[in-house]
Parts: sequence; structure tokens; C-alpha cells
Amino acid sequence: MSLLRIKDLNIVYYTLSGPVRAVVDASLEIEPGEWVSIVGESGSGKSTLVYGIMRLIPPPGRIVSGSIIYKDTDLAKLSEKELRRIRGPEIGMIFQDPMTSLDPLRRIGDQIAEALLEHGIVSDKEEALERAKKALKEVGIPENRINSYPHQLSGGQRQRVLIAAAVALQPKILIADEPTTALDVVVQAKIMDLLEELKRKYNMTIILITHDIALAAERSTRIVVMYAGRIVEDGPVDEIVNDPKHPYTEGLLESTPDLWGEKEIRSIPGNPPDLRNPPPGCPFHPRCPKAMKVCRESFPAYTRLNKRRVACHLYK
Amino acid sequence: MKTIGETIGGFLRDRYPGKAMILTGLTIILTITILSLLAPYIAPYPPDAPSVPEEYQGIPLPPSREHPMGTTNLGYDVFSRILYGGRVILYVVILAAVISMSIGIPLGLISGYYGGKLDRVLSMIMDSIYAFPGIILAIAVASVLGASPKNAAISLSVVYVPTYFRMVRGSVLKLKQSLFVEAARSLGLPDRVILVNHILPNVAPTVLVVFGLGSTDAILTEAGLSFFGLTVSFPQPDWGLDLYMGKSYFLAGAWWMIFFPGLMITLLALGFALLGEGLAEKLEIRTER
Repeated sequence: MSLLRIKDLNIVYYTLSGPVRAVVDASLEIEPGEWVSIVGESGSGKSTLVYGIMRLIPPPGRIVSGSIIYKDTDLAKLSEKELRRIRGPEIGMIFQDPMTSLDPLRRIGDQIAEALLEHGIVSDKEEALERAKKALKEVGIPENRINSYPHQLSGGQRQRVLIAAAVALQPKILIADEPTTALDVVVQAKIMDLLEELKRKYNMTIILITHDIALAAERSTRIVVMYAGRIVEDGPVDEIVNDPKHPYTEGLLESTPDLWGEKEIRSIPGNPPDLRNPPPGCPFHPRCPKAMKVCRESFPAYTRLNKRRVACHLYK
Repeated sequence: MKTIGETIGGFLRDRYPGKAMILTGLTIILTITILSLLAPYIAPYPPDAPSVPEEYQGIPLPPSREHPMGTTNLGYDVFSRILYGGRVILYVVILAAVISMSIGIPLGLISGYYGGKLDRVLSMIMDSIYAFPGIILAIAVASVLGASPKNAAISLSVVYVPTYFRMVRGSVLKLKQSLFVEAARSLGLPDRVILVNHILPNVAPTVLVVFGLGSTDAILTEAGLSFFGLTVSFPQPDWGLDLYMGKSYFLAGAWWMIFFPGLMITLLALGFALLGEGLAEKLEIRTER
């Protein structure tokens, strides 16, 4: 049985200049132990989708329809109070900007210990701090930094602290929203190694949000490509990388530089659409080199090809 | 509306470095506080009884060796009254700050964090109080409550609760968007913990600044209340009251009867303005609204 089953999820931001459909009819099933990377440009709805899973969509955003079934419970229907039992011990999250994701006025140890105490995982402060020490050590931060304040740490270290705080609660699913975008490349690789190690150790399922399809290809078991709020292609990483079916996935792969310079970089012409007023039919058709008449008329149904599904009129 | 505190602050800002302002402000406030606390040991005469022989009572005496700040028309020693008078104004202003904080901060936290209808209603009430000229509102409340230092503090609180409320609510609105609050929520922490452990401490700098600048206004307003006899009654010593007592003798040449109380009120207000503005600069908090 799937660990997480998202079905026909629609998330809309009711902005002053009109409703923005950030996630459109998204369905996604995630099995235990997978590393799913959700890839897409800014504004593709990838972040909104996972904020939706956490039920942390900032107003004026709202889940309009659809369900998010996590082990028999529909997260979309839970109250704030019930969600508190899910957030943390069941589904954890780490964020894009480690520089501002920690409370600047509290010691890092206290910040990790706090959640352990609140969830009743440990019963007294001392034990919580012991656990915090262990968690810090696990992410490669020396125990004696437990009393440090966030400003005394580097960006990479802060991201490690945030990972420690999330993983200390031993969530089944860890969502990482562009965790390395704000960090330099060397640190990025180390953080990814750490995530991989923790995933193995605690048997977690990881959902990684990234705009970097190369990064996704390197680490994940599966890639989900989103465009203009819709999932356009979804399948095992080798199928997607070696043989992209959707023209947008193809474009993303072609726009990734190759270290050996054996490949010509081609960017996708045009810009992502304005979601207040998306193009009719398949939202990618104005930028698509293979667009046909039908693409302007309707959004394609998903076609199963081997272990992948793709939403494109080319495949029928 | 720009308050007096903000006007003074605006003048000071960018002209003097924050640290110097904080130190000068603290020095002024602490000196006045210590002097009024030590009044029984320093004051040469009792503040609430004539200090000159009966034949001199009725004429204000100019400053002299015996009376460094002169005497009042009734023969009271101005210097002794200044020392004791500081107690009243400090008591009223500090008590007012404590009351305004204990109402304004929690309401601002809740209003800013939860938003919605409650927030709209609270903001509307606070804005309407805020729009009222402070001194007039304070006089109105104090008249209803009756003259006493405690009631003066309550009427000042009515005026300054909205200031704390607005500033706290504003910074909560900003903090609520911050990633660390989102991260705390993603760990499943309840609102109570987020508000008390994460938002409140981050609001503290704002509260400090409001304390400094709000108290500047509160001092001037308190002096106004005293001037109208709404704090203490003669012969108790009080700067605002002494201003009132002295005003009829000013034209007769007895400048010392109003000069010294006026100077002290100005100095104390300046002390708090320096403290508030210095803190605002150091902590990078914008105070103009």
C-alpha cells in the first residue's frame, strides 16, 4: 500500500489580482522507501504541492479539492490540532533558506529539544538535550556546539541543525524544499550525502523539491516533473533521464550543463506562463517545439509507458 | 499622528550614534531615579512644609545658599520638592508602562498571530484610541477615576496600550511570515509554544524601543495631569503641580518656581527619548508609522 496517496489535489491562491491555480489536479502515489524528486521551474507549483502535504500553505492559498491520504488519514481534512501529531513525528520538513529557518534568539540544542518534549518523545529537559546532542552528532555537528546560537554557525551547519531537528523526531517522510539552493556546491553535495545516509539509517521516504534536474537524477529513485501546477511526467529516474518523453522534461535535461562539454546547452525558449491566466489546453504548448493543434484545445490524459506516466498528446 | 517622542527621536536620529544616545539617556534616567530615591537623605528641608520663618511665607525667595533653587510663595524649599517630586512622576510612568505592557503585548501577540475577526475588532478599537490626542484622553479618564498617582497611571495606560499593541502586532505580522516560525510549525509545535518561545522573545527589542519613546510621551502627559491637579494634591511635591503653583508668580519675577520643575520634566523626557531612539538605532527598528 502506498505511504502517501495524493489524489486530484487543487490548490489555489486567492490573490487580489485574481485566483492563481498553483497546483492543478495533481495525483501522486509515494511508496515507502522511495526518494522522489519533484522538479520544475520557479512557479511550477512544486513547493506549493509539498506545503499542501504539510498543510502549511500560507494565506491566501487554500486546498480547494482533492485528498492527501497518509496511512488511511486524509491530511486535507485534519484540524490544526490533529495536524500537530502528523507534522514532525510523521512528516518532517526542511526549508530552502537555512539562514532564517532557525530562531535567532535560541540555542540550537534547545530548538531541537523543544520538539522532542512537545511530542512527548522524551519526558524531561535533560533527556531531550541528550537526544539533541545525539542528533547533532549524527548530522556531523560536534556535541559541544549544542549551546551555540544560529549566528555562530555557517549556512551548511545551520541546514544540518535543521535536518537534525527534523530527523530527531524520526519522521516516516522527510520533505526537503530546495535544501541546498542557498548553499555552495561543495556543501550541497555533503548535505545530499547526509540526507542519503539518514534515509538509509532510519528507512525514511524523501521528497526533494529542486529546480536542478541533474541533482535529482543523481540521488533519487524517481522523478516527478511539474509545469504550471500540473504533473507532466513521473517515473523511475533512469527512464526519465535517459529517455525523456515529455518535451518539457527533454528541455529541462537539455538546458543542464554537462561538465565535459560534450553536450550543447539549449535553453527552453519563452517563460513559464502567468498562472492567473494560463494558456488553454496543455500549458506548455506556447513553448513546445512539438506543439500540435490539439495541444491548444485540451490537457492530455496521462499515458502509461512502461513504469512511467506522461501527460502529452504525442503519446496516445 | 506624530507623537512628541517620535519628533524628538527624529531629530536625534542620525545626528548621534546609538550607543552614545543610550548611555546619555540611561545616565539621565538613573541619576534622576537615584536622586529621588535618596531624597530623604539629600533634601535639606521637608518637601511638604514651609522651610522659612513665618514672616517670609507669602513671598517666593530667590535661590540662595540656604535654598539653592529658591522657595515657593508659601516658603517651601524648591530643591527639596524637586527631589521628592521625582518619585511621583517615576512611579506613575513606570506603573503606566507595566500596565500598558501587560495588556498591550498579549493582545498584540494574539491579534497579530491569529488574525481574522478578533484582529480586526481589536485593531479598530486600538486605532480609535490611538487617534485621540493623548493628553485629552488621559485628562478625561483621570477626571472620571479621581486624583491619585495610581489613577494617573491607569489613565496613561489607556493612552499607551494602543502604542504597545500596534508595534507588537506589527512585528508579529512580520515574524509570522518568517521561515523559523514555519519551521517550528513543521515540527508540530503548538501555537502556545511558538508564541511564547519564538515570537515573544523576538518582539522584545520592539517593546524596549516603545518603552523608551512611549515613556517620553507619558512623562509629558503625566506632567500635564499633575498640572491640572489630577495626580497628587498640594502640599505633596510633584513637578507638574509645582509648575501650576509657580505660573502666577512668573510674571512677578519668581522664575525659579517654574524653571526647575520644568527643567526636570524636560530632562527626564529627554532621557527616555535618548534611550528609546538609541535602542531603535542599535536594534534597527523603525518607529515611524
